Amino acid sequence: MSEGPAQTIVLQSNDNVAITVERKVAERSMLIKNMLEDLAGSELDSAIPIPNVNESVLKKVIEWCEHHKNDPQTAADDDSDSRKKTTDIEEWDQKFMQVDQEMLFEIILASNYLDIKPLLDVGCKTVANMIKGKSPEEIRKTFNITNDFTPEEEEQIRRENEWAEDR
Amino acid sequence: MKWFRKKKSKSLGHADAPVSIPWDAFARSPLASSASGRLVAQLPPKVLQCIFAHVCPHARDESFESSEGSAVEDTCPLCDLRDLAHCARVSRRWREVAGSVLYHSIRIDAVHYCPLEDILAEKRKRRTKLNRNAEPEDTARARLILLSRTLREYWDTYALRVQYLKTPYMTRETCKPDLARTVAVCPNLRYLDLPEGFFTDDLSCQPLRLELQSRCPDIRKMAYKEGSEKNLELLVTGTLWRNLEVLELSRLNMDPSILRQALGRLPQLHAIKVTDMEAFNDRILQHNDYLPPFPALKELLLENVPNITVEGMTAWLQRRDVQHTLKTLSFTETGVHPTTLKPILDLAPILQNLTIVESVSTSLPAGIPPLSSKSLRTFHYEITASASTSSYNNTTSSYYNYLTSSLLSRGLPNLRELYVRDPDFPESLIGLAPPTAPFQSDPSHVPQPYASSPTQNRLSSNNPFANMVHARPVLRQELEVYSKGLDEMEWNFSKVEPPRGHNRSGSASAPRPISSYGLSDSIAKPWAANAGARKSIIVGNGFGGLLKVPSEDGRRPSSSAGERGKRGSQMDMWR
Repeated sequence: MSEGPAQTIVLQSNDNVAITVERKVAERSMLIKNMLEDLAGSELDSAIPIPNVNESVLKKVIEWCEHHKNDPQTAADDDSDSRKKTTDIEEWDQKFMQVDQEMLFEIILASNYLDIKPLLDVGCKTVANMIKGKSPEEIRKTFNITNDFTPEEEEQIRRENEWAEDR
Repeated sequence: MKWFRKKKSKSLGHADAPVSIPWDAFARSPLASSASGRLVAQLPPKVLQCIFAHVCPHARDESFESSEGSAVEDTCPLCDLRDLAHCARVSRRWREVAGSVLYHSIRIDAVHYCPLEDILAEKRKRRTKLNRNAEPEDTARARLILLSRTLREYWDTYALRVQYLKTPYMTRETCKPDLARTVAVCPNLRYLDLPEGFFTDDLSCQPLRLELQSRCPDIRKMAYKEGSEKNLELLVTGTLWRNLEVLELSRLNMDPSILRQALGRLPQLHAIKVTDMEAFNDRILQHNDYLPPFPALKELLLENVPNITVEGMTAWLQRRDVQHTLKTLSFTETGVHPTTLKPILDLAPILQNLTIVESVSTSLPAGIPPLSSKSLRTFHYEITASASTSSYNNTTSSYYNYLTSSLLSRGLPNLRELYVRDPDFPESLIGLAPPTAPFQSDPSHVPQPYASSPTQNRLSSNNPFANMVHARPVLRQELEVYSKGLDEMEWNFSKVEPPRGHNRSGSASAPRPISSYGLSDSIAKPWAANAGARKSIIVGNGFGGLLKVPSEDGRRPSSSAGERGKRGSQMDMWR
């Protein structure tokens, strides 16, 4: 195992920029990890294309993977534990996520595509914290979402979720 | 003038005080752009679900624990719920996804566990203007009624998604008809907080029982207590609740063979808890040609079940399928004694958690082989002297010596957590001998503590005492020991680490350490996170002796009981 695979691999973003990363770093992505495992044995001389992610986002994702490369891989069914720690985000991750919204959602989409569950969680937590305590109108404003409900529909939904409102 | 201004501002503050809670951590969120708006619209449902699950963490709760037992510690469930409901009102796309999260695991709470509760309580008082002395509205009940209305209206969408429904104790006890109306439209319900009377076949719960039996075939957890033998017999038909996974039996007085037939009809069953049952005896576990076998469980908890002995347990554990599933075993005041634990351990190759709680009146007989298990990780060995024994007879020490010798003979190599009811137990493991006199420098002549195992190069190979020294039992594993005296409420934590093989110096004489860390200032504040907790770590002092130091993080020892206590005390601030 230790002698066979190369220590670095090359990833290619969708704007054709090749980025060399340590194999261990790239393996934070389950997509890449599984792919490398499938290719085990055969020579890996060409770059791995990452078609959905552009250079700046890929670099940002790799930056996160670099910092977290030594984290223990959490088991997939470890949901009960993540439920306990709800809103707090590690300080480094908090700083990492201080980007504009476009980048934030790009990171979330990329981590979803690359299957990096912890990064996806951090991104979603960040968005969740932006939602908390806001009214529907404030949420729309925050994320630039257009209201596509008719007034009747709006009233209907307000009624159906009335049990969840403050009282 | 001044007086006027004051009044004005006060009334203003009450009239339209925006009901919002201080989520100031992310108050300055980055601004949206048209590009980010496009991205938000593109988010796949899976990602949106993940976001909503973080908005409202309890929506992912899939435990079969009651509303009180499954509370998440650091959030306010009602605020989370409201925020998620707001997400559903944002756009059509969001409504769809938020609906699937919101109606999966429903949790209704009585009050906000945050400062908002004060404001809302004030508002509630004002709502009834005409009748100022009226009782304020029971919000949990009002929520349940509204929820029931919504689910009955959307019986073909939202109601089908409901799998968990948790309500506070008072609500489920007082709103049985509302609960019955709600569950009537939820055919996929798996877990529901039920009133106590439900388990004892109380008449007031009859409508709820009938609804649940006829409309909710997928229930996964049920309890049967004194008086509900008849209901348990219904399971024998094999048409009711075939997917039951967790079962609690208590004070039932019924024929073991019928019980066995009922259990045989539940192929998914993996955990049973039995309390106060004399009828639950060895025969239930043993093989019988005419009855279905006792199910292979992951978890078996027995409490006050005097007729279960080692014979029944070993007969059950002889089966291969049981050996490969059983992970948790608990005996509290049963017919299984510490003396008979060994054959049970030998037959349970993947057992991870074992509990034995017993009060003893006689000492442990000599010559019992030590316990051994390669899989055991958590061990509760809580032996206390029964009330009838004289307090001058030290009967329990023989039991703890047995445990010590099992540990030192390396019978439990993977054990990580140990709970004992002997406050001096951690010391017995590291073997803190009386301080060594500095002039007695020859290690072979002095009864040395186990911990001071000299390294290889300390003694040359032709030293006649070398073998003797190495034959001394040494604890080889890192162990977290939680001990509790008879009159103590909290577990005391000690970490026992294997000796690191320091070169001994002849003058090592560490004083007996006593830790009172963390006890001084926290007594006045029982809600503080580390109140009453005393955690010390035992480390080598470099000379072969050992030193207890206060640990860095003053975390409270986290036994399951301790965790619950902590949560309770935190929430009591708002109850």
